[in-house]
Amino acid sequence: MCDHQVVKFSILVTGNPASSQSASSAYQFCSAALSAGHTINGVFFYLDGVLNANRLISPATDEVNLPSLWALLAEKHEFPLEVCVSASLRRGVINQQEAEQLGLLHHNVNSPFVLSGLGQLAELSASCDRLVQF
Amino acid sequence: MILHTVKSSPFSSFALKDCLKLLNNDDKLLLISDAVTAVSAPVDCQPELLKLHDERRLFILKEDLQARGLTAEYGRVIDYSDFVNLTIQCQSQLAW
Repeated sequence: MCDHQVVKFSILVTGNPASSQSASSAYQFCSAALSAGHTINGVFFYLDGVLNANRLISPATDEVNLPSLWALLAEKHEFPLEVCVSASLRRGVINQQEAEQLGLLHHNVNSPFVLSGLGQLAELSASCDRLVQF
Repeated sequence: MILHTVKSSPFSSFALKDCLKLLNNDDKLLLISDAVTAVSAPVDCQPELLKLHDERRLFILKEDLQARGLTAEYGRVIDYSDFVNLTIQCQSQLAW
């Protein structure tokens, strides 16, 4: 495969946005791939990476807010942000549907982040040209 | 041809050492995050890294070097768009 072809990337993010550089590296990689004219097939958040989907994360105003950057990039370029549901529930990352089922008062995951299973990671890796893990 | 990306410092993890053991003859190695320290300080595996450098198979991510105020003594310093191209040139990527 050569450099000038349009390539479909799937991205796997496994790091906590506050304590690891993984999600930040993945975000910069996605931005660079999109500016080179490639497409992002989808981003899958797994292990501590699911914490990127917490919309209540509010760093200081002069710091980078990765969850909101991911949401903006995904909406602009129309790619899905899939979040592993079992890793999420263990870490208190919950959408409205799960909160209702579990009888919880609050939820912290909104669109474009979607809770999904590992099957979706298999789907993302099968339907892309390159899977890149961070 | 596999692109191996190592992210942890050789002073705090065995990831780089382990990766070097498994590297095939045509694989490439990209150091990102804290792993960039490997080319700016003396490390045990320097002979292996220098060999990769001679074979033009060692790459260092510029943004991560700059963020740490370091300079690479060897290896090719690349940016994110080169990183994207490397993942395309290689058949797959392996994250350490």
